[in-house]
Amino acid sequence: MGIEISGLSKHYGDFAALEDITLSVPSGGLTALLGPSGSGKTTLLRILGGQETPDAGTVHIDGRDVTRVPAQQRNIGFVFQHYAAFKHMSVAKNVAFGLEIRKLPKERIRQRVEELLQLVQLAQHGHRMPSQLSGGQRQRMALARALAIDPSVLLLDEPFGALDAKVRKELRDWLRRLHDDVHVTSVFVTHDQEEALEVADTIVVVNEGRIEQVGTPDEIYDHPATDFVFHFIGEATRLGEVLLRPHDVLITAEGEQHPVSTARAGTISRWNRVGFEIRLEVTLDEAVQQGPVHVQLTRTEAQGLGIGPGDRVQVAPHPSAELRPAGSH
Amino acid sequence: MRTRTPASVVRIGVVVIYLFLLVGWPMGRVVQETFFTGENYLTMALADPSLRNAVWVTLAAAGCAVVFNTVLGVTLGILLVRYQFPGKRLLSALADLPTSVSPIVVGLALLLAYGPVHGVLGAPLAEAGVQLIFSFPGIVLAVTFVSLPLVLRAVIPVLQEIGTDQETAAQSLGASGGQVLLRITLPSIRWAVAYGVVLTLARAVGEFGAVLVVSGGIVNQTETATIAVQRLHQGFETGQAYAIGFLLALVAVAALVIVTILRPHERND
Repeated sequence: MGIEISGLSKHYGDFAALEDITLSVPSGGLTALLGPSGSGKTTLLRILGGQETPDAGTVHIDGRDVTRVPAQQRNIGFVFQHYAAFKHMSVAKNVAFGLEIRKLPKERIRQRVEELLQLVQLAQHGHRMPSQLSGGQRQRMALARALAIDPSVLLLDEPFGALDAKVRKELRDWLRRLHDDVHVTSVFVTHDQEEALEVADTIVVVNEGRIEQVGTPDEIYDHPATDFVFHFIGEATRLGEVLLRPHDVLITAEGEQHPVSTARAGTISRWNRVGFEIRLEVTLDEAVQQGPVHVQLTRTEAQGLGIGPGDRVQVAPHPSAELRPAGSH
Repeated sequence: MRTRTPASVVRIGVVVIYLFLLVGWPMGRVVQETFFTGENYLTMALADPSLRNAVWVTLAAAGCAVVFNTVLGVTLGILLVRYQFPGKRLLSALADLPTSVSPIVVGLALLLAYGPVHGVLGAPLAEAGVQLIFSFPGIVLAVTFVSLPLVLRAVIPVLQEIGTDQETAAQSLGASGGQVLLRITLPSIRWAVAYGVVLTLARAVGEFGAVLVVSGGIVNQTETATIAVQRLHQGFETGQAYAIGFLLALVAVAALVIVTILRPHERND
C-alpha cells in the first residue's frame, strides 16, 4: 500500500522535469523529496496531488490507479509554502471547508473542527481571520484544514519555506511529533538537507528529474550512493586523493603523536568561529591538491587540542570516515 | 508618518489648491446654482415628468450596463488571468478599445452596425419589428460599450495577486470547479468587483456622446439625463440643467462614498 509510482515522465517542451521515475512510498511514513531547485521534486509532488498530469507512467495510491483522477477526487491533503489560507474565511471556516464540501452534518463538522484546532494548538483562535495569525499559526491552520478530510496522503510543498529560522525549527519538531500521533502517509518537498535529515523517515534525493538515492537519513548521510548525493547532503572537502566530510578530518598540533601514520603536515591558514562551531582551513605543505583542507571542530575540541590560528598541524581522514575518491573535483 | 516640514506644507498646499480650482470649486458652483439662487431647482426639475423619465432611462440603462459588464468582466478576467489560449493578447487589447475610442465614434459605429436603415444587422431586425437604435436597447448598447472594460480592469490585478494557491487548495479539499468559483474566487475579488461596478455606474450614468447618436434624444422616450441637461441648457432653463447635473454628480459621489465606507472592513493579506 502507500504510494506506488512507476515509469513517471514529464516534459515541458524540451525540458525533462521528470524522467522515468519509479518509487514506492510506504504507508504511514514521512518521506522527504530532497533536491536543488529545478530538480523536479515539486513537479513530482504536483503529479501526486493531481495538479499536473504526467506524460507517461502511473501513480497508485493505496492500490488505486489515480494517474488520471482529477485533484478534487483524490482525497489528498495539500499544504503550500505560502499557506494558501482562504483569506475571507475565519480559521474555523478554513478548517471546515473540506467537510462542508462533503456535506457532513453541521454538528459533526463543529466537533471535528474543534478536535483539529486542538490538535494544531489553535483552539483559542477559531473565530479569527487568517490575517490575524502569525506565519507558523497559519501553516498549522493549513495543516488542520488538510487533515480534516482524513486524507489518504498528505502532501507538503516546502511547508516551512516562508517562515523565519526559529519558527521553522519549532514547526519542524512539531510536525515530526504530530506525524508520530497521526500516522498519515506524508510526502514533503524541501531543498534544505538539514530539514530532510531531521524530520523525515525516508529521504528521496532528486536531481535533474531522476532519483539519485532513496534511504533513511542515516543511510543517505553515511553512505551516499552518488557523488551528487555526497555533495548535496552535507559539506565536503578534499584531503589528498580522497573526498570526505570536514568533521571527519582528524587534526592534531605539530609535534603531537597523530593516530594516523600517513597524516600530512600543514598550517592553519583560516580560522572562522560560528557559534559553537569552528571552521578552519589547513594549507598543506606538499602540493597534492588545489586549495586548502576544510576542517570542522567544536569549540571544546579545538581547546582540547590546543590549536589556534596560524599554528602548524597534521591532518588525516578519520579511520571510520566515509571516503570517496576525489575525481575531477 | 513623516514629520511636517515647510516643504511638505507647500507640496500639500499646491495639490489642495490645484484640486480645488479644478474639481471642488466648479462642482460647488453647480450645487450653488441648484439650491442657492432663489429657487430650489431640484424639486422643480423632478416635478417635470419628462425630466423624471430622462433620469429613469439613464438609471435603467446604467443598471443594465452594470449587469452585463460585471458578468463579462469577471468571466473574461478569469479567462485572461488563469488560462492560456491563442489570441489572448488580442482579446485583452480589444476589451480595452471602448475606453480609448471617442464616445461619439462609438455611437456612429453602433449606428452603422445596428441602425434600421444602413445597419447590417439593424435592417433585417427592423423589418422583423425589433428596433435597437433610437430606442432603449440602443442606449443600453451604447453605455455598455463605453464602460465595458472597467470591471475587467479592476478584477485582473486582484486575480493575479491572489494567485492559484487558494483555488488549488480548495480543489484538493474536494471542491468542484463551480464550488471553487463561488466559495473562493468570487469572494476573494468581491471588492475589486464592487469598485469596478461603481466606476461602470459612474461612467454609464454620465455618458453623453455615444448615447446622443444612438438614442435620438426623443423627449419623454429616449432622452437620457445627460441629453436633458444639454437640452435645458440650450433652452435657457439653466437652473434645471444644473439640478439634473447635480443629480448626476450625486450618483457618482454616493457610489464612491459607499465603497469607501465598506472598504476598511475588508481584511487584506
